[in-house]
Amino acid sequence: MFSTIIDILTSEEFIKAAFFPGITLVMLYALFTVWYERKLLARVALRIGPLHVGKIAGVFQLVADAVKLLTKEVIVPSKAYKILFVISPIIGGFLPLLIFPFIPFGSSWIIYPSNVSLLIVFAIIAVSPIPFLVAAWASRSKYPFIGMLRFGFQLFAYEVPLFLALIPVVILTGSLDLQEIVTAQKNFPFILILPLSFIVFLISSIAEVERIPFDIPTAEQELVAGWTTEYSGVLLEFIQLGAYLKADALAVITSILFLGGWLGPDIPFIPLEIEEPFWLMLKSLIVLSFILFLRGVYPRITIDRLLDLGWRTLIPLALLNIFIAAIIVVYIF
Amino acid sequence: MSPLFALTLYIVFAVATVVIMALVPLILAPWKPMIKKKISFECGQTPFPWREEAFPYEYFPYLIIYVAYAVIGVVVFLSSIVLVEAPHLADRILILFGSLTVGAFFIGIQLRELKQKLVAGRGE
Repeated sequence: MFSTIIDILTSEEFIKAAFFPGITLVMLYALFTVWYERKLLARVALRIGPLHVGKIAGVFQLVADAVKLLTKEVIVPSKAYKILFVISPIIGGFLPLLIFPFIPFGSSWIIYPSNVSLLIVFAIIAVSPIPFLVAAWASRSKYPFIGMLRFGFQLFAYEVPLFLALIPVVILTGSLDLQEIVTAQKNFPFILILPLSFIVFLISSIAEVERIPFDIPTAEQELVAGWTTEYSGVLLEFIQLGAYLKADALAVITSILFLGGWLGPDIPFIPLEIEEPFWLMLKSLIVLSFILFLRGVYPRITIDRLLDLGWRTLIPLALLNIFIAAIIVVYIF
Repeated sequence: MSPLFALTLYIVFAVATVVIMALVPLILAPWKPMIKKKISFECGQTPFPWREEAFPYEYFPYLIIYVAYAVIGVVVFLSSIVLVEAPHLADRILILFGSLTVGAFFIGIQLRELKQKLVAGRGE
């Protein structure tokens, strides 16, 4: 019995699930993103950002904030649909956690390898906003209601191009396996031959995670906090966790699909098991920095422009790129 | 031990994390229910009673277009799989992709004229 437990605790599967690229990495990555966003935006605005809590660069400010949210009273409005109001954000915070077991962080760093990992990941991404729509509806209040409608319109407009932007990658590699997609970029990353797809995918990803300039559903100046207005305490923490996890996942997936994933120059004396995740995390950090940086430099766009961009520009561009990718595969490769 | 075991472990850890986070406020958070706290947010104004009225909202026609584009998305995806699996059908698939691309640009131009606000049955 005791030896079985020791076997499990020291097994590769346990280490992957518990530490890297498992739950510890995922939660730390989400925490890091919050801290990094604050620091980055502070620098953009010539401020310092979190400083006092924690000796190094205010790193414990996040812990303080998390403790604050965890220890606040959970308030459920009297008009709300109570069960849905409480359960929806919890499910919404949980679903993005399920994306990560299927994302490879290196040729051997994956929790569950699958030959349809790309489809699984995007199925979870497509489902993940639904609990938040339900949460907004369950609030039964006018700001969440308007935010929910905007959220719905935005999702409808940007999920189609997000999905279409993947197809050229599938055509070029002939695979739905994220590991094979990275291997196929051995000679050059797909951003060089599919720049349009990359741009469409990145813009759609930013809209998918409601980052500025696409934060219309939670527009603070217009809708208080949009569909999250009635939420506080741990339920708000779940909503934020879900949003940051999805942003992190999309940054990693963008790196895998278009930037060559974990492929990079060899670093002397560093084993491949460390080098591969290093390159992937570095590329993800660059993508994440771009996504976060927009918040510091762009104003929010109006809903008519947002829908115009999605329906009238991104979808035709995504289809054009599929056509180009098909021509490349048929006549060049 | 297999990857399925690792996936199961990961899901157990994820569920445990979420459950612990959800349970912490039950132990640590104060519980002082008040009617005022449970009233919907009104930007500092005195909340007014629940009432129902018509809520005109724009852009619903896009939802109809979404249905069409969602089907097109599935067709394009399946066609791309066919392109990979059956290269001898490449010409037909290229014609399909080309037609859809031209059609999407045409629709993109035409959508500017689409009436987005429906008031009493007429477009505005």
